[in-house]
Amino acid sequence: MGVEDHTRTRMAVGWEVHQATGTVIAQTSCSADEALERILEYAHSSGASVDQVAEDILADRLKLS
Amino acid sequence: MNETVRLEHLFDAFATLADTLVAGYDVLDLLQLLVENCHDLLDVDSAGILLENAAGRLEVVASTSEANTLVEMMQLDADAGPCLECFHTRAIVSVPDIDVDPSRWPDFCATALAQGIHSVYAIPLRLRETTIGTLNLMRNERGELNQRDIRAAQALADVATIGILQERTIRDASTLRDQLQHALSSRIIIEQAKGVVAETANVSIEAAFALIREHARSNQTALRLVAQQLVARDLRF
Repeated sequence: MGVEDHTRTRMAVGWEVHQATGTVIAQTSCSADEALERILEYAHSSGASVDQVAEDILADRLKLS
Repeated sequence: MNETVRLEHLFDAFATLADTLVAGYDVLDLLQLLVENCHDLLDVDSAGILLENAAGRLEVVASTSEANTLVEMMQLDADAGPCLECFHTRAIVSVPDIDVDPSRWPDFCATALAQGIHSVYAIPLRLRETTIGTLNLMRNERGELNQRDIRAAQALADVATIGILQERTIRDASTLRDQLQHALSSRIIIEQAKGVVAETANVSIEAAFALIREHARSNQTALRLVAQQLVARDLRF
């Protein structure tokens, strides 16, 4: 599943996920695709919503390595 | 803003829009300019634009507020709200007081009211048979938007729409759908770039966008290109 597919569904819940993807890119120097994958994986494994994970990343409450 | 100053600004807005169309532009930059003009010149508190995506659904592509709450509200509007109705009927939809019939679009109305928005105006981005999306004007006050502002908003929206459709005819053979989807994916990259800049420059998301916009304008580059360089880490602020 490419970024465009992920993001197409993501757009329905706001822009924070994309902003958080940028935060992860800056923190880990990974690509946008990888950064988004990490956010989605973290949400999946922690049981939190993708929006919640994004919000935590943007608020500096969560750092994905 | 007094009337003379406002008219000057409105004149400037049309002149800038026309210059942009003459000089060549990126669709997303044009739409961003349009929502900012509406916010600055009209009696509205926030504005946004939704375009039809490749799947045939409306998606938020530009917004005057960074607040995700506003983007989410407009997305709910796109699923069931005045903007969807505007898109389908291809006519202006005015909701002067959301409180009068909140059950009509329950999710949208509840979210709008929670943000202090009491009236909404949706204007189709349309040229003859083609409708590409909607311009949405939100106000915290109840009541109809004045006729003067409605005319100005419709005219700004018309110029932008004609520009977008004209650009496609002249420059490339891509379908309208591709062109709109390109603008929507630009938005994703710009949001990512905001996150990158906010983190590296240690500023808020709002301030990050201001930096990106400033860089794009002073270098006369499309927002998308600046954002792409930032996301690829080829450009650092």
